[in-house]
Amino acid sequence: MSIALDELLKLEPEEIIEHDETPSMEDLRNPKQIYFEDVEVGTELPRYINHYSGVHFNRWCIAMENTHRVHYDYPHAMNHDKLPGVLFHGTWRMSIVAKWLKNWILPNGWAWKSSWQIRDMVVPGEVTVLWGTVKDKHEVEGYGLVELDFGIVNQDGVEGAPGSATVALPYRGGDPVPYPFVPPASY
Amino acid sequence: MARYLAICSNPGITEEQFRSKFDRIKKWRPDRRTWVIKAYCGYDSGDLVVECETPDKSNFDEWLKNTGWNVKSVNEINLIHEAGTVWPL
Repeated sequence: MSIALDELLKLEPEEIIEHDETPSMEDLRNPKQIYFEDVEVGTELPRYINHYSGVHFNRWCIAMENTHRVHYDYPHAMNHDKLPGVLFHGTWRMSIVAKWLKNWILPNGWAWKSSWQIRDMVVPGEVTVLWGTVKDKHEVEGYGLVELDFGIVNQDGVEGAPGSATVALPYRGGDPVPYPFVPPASY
Repeated sequence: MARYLAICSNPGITEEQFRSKFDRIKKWRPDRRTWVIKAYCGYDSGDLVVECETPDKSNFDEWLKNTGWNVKSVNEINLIHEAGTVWPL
């Protein structure tokens, strides 16, 4: 992680985007496993930084067959629902968070659970930064559990989706996290 | 929430000066319930027409003050026509 989040958010939007750490398709085809021993409290996850346009919003509407007009119809969103513009989808945030967790623990970990709140509206043109840090870690039989804090903050530092997650990582030299994943009874 | 329309003037305004009022989200969404939806700018006249949604007109007044533009009037609006559709606000 080359720059602290608070320093990143002092940059101009076009500079913020240059710090995107979304893995390439090639990276995902050849994932390098992160082991439980590799992470410590405070370890930061790769930041996924995006700059969405209304076209992206429309594409998600089509993909999800979600035709609610707040997501693509500017006059309706602004004049009927009194919004600042068309809105980023909650389901899209869910998808992005799930993908981000999955990408981090590939190939032999497991993204067990996550929860978050949607607290601010995202409209086209905003730069969003998906960030995460390790909050705690626990050893259990067969694998380790890592607790995370995360959020999706915009270019102006407004946190729009604070949340937390728990992922399972294999021990170095140990077996992959069992699939299907069965949560430890004692946790 | 209410919609307000401001008529302003800033002769000689440039695109760069206009853009500088809106180039960060926080500039046109100064708080969680106030946003400057649209602004029109004419180079020849220096006239500006600005539309804002806010629960409190003073929020818009403050935003306008910070632009440095000469504000001629600010009025609440109740109807909008847009491409054949009339929107009661």
